[in-house]
Amino acid sequence: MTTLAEPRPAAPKRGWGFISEFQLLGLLTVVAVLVAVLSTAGYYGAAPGAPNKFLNPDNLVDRLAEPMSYYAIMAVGMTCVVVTGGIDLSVGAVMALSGLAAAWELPRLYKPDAPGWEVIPVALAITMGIGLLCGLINGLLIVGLEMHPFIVTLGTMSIFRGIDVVAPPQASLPLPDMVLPASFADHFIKWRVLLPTAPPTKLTPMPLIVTLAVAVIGWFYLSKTIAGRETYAVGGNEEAARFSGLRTGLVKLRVYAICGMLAGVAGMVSLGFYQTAESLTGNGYELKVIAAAVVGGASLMGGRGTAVGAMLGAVIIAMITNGIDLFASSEYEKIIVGALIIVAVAIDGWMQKLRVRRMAAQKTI
Amino acid sequence: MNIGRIRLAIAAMAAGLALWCGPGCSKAPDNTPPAGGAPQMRTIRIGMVAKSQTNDVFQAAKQGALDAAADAPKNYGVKVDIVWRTPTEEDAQKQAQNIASLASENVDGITVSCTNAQILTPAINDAVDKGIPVVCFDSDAPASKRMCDYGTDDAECGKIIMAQLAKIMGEKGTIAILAGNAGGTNIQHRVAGAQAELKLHPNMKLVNDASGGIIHHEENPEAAVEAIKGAMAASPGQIQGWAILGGWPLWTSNALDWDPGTVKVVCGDALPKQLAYLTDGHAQMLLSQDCYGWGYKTVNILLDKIVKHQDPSAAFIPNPLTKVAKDADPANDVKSVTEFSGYWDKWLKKS
Repeated sequence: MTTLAEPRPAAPKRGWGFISEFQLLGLLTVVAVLVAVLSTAGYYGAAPGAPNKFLNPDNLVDRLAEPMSYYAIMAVGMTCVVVTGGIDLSVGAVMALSGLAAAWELPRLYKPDAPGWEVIPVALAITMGIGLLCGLINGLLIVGLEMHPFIVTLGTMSIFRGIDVVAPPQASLPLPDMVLPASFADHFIKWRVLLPTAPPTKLTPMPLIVTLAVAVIGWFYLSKTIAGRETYAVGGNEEAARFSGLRTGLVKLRVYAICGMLAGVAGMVSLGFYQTAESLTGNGYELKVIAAAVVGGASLMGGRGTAVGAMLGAVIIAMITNGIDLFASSEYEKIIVGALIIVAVAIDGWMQKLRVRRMAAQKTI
Repeated sequence: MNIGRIRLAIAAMAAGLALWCGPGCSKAPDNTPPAGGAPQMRTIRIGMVAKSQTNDVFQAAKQGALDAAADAPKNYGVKVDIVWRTPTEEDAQKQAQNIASLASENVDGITVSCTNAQILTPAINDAVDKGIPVVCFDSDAPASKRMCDYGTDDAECGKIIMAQLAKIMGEKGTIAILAGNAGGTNIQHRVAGAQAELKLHPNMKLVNDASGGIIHHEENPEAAVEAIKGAMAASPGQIQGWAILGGWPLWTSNALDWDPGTVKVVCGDALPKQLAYLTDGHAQMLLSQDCYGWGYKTVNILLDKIVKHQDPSAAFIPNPLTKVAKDADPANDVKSVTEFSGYWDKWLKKS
């Protein structure tokens, strides 16, 4: 006899693409408190006449947003996976693999002065293609073999990282006698804007721009498309979704492919910014990516999570990390990120219970 | 709380944030004259970016930098603040971000040990272009605009390890070389130095096994110990000495399972944990890099540049290697394990 799983409460319909206004208010409150605390500390920590250590464009764009961009981009993909009740631990290794592939291939395909319209689409195709391939492998193993995503992606994390180490002829690419085309690295990802301050401030906004673009596309995909709604349906109640005619396997395959593809985008941004990819690129990023998704309101039990929330989750983690770098010692970073995940999951569980209780009370009435 | 109120609260919060961020919050210049009219000592801020927080050698380097800062008022007439920005684990991207962060804070100088020279070179160049002198220690970024590198001359280190092993073995015997990652440039240089030195000792030879006597391993203690055990098992009773070019196998306790002294060992590292192998007789000599000096010396190189406008003597300044054995031998400049343990206690602030 087939028993239907107990239905979980559906995602709230009001709000900014399935993020409830209450949740958004909570996240914004945390962001506001962090801005207030860090900018106050930044004011008092600055030398006389110097700009606020935290609240200045250089810190916000180049120190906070650039490191954040890698895990924020991947957090959007991770949110799609988490919404279906899955998880992808291989994102950091996929990021490295796609970056290494592009760092190997681009200098062979193009001269250093090749035009951007030729190089950039190929860079995108290589990194996203490798990411897509890795994501499809994850998805096929999970759907085809009906294995738990945690186990599958733990295994592929190790395999992909192993390939990162074994495949390149040396730990870093491109090889010493080769360079990436300037139109991709210097003039695209590392494109610099000069602010008319005294002295002039150089900003590198492209990682932030790519991150925002991914967030907007993620928001549109999850909240405005049929595919997005199918993702929530599968995560909310997989069996009900199947009985209502959804091809749940295909939906799952799609989210792992998206997650892999976005890890590829993160690999491309990292390669362009540092002009090097190495075997250890993205090592340990899965923790921050999952933390950003969960802190942003994604439920590890599935059914809930948004791109806007993932972005705010990434901003919160980035602000804490930046604050630790500026005012404390970075040994504490991992402790704080780990604690954040536990707190966010605990709050989610508590909210879940509250909702179930409220639904039960409404039924009784 | 109804939806309208929540929306109002969100709008108010966004407006509040914008207002808070609006003024830019630059701190007003401090125009207060120094108390009593006495001239204020200039404060110099030096950023230090080591490879990781979990390695004792970088804690020793940090202590060296702090001691150099404490000596600066006397030696240079300035006050020095060390800004320690080292990732928890080895992470080249984080190091690059930290260098950029230090440069944006307008520190007066930066000293860095590069986890990946390729990744760090643009960040170092950006800092130098902003007028901030950068010195490397331990691991160099030779293609960057850094002022100089203070570290181990790897070829020389390989030579010394082999020469000391030959001396301990009475200039004869069959040996093996334990090298870490085959792709590491520093390891390649150490192997080349050791091989060049070996040619000067005609009665010493490398064991004739499948590896040709040079055994590489993944750079972690367990893999290093397995590599030693594997080589000993592959050539039973043949290997009489080990030239260990990186210290990995001795980051363990009691991992060498032969009777102390039956196989001679000289190793290119002398960390606190490794000293126990000298005491129990499994290793005959360890060679210590100047990890305390990585901090002390490089801060002084930066102060020479910043305060005295003096350039370093060369682009590469080799650090001295200290020989450590169970017992001191002042005639050959060898320190005892007891004396050297005392240094570590000081560097790691245990005494």
